[in-house]
Amino acid sequence: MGKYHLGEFEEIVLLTVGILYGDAYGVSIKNEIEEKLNRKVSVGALQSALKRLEEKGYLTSKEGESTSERGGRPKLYFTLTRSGRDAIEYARELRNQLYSRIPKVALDLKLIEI
Amino acid sequence: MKERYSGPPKIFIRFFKWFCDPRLHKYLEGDLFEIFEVIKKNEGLRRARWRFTWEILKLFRTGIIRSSNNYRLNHSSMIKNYFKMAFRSISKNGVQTATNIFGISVGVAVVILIVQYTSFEFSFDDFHSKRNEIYRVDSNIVEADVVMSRSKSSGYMLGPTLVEQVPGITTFLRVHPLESGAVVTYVGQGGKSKQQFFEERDVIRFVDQSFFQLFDFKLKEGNRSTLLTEPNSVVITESIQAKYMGSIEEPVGEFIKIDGGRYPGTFKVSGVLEDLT
Repeated sequence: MGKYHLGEFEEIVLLTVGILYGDAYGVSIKNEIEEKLNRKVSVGALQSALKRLEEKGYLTSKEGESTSERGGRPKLYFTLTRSGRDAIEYARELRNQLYSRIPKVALDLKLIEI
Repeated sequence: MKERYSGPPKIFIRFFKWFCDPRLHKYLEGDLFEIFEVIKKNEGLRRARWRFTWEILKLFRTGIIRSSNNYRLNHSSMIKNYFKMAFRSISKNGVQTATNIFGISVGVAVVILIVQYTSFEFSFDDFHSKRNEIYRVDSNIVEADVVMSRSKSSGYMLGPTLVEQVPGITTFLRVHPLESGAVVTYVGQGGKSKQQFFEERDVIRFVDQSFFQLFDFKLKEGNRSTLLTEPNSVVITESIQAKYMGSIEEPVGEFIKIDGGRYPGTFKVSGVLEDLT
């Protein structure tokens, strides 16, 4: 896996944090993934992924403001770090490289099959 | 009237606070409350409460549960390092290691032997109350200032002479083992009862009267002050009594006959000792 190791869910979370630039905290990340990817995300799974990514140094967190609908609890905002960005780019490049090496015939055949 | 409580279930809020890592707790609780409010607005209180509970149960996992000790130290890597260092130095200095291991094995073996020997020596005959005042007199056979041999025995007259001439010695006791063995017969009081005889080796001792002043062997039958006071009396143990007489009511006063050895004759039982366990 080289320098950067990202699990599938970790990659999605990392990308989403990037998308929500400046507004990425627990609930907004969860909603974004649930809406755009149409899959259920539990608070626990998300929290574990965020914690792991933070330990790997791909994310940093900062305490934000607290609002009344949160029972007066502050939000914890996440932002991408430099190495987080590198990790996303590395994953993307890897995929593109692999994709480009698939012979055209294989892709054509698949189209016909459908 | 009081307004009815319409928040998330309190018991699960408390449960979550109990198990959650305190560094994460306030943010996660905020997230849960926010989600709760949204669901409550869209799908109703019941559904929101149910989802809240379910999320908390799913949060009960490693990484979120607090560690029991916040100052956990990593001892295992230190100990791993010890083993690694030990292994490296062992493989580096082969001869030295062999010498060390040989030396410590010999040392440990010798210690075990010494402990075994001394603990055995201290393990028996320790119920005699005068054990610190009783000594066995041995003799050395000396020729031209060289000890030729050592013996556990000495002459008959040594005991009385020592008591007479050496201050501090109050009593003597001579023990003469019947090493050759003898045929022992139970003859009963009048010599008429059914005769039982066995050959006995190494269990018969001729002793002085002072035997029971010096030693505290426990008495089962008989009177301690009159044991061995008459000539030709004998003290037997429980198991000898059972062997010859069976379960007899009154063993004291019975007679046994000893044939063979230096002093054959008929002896009167004056007491029965408890067997040593």
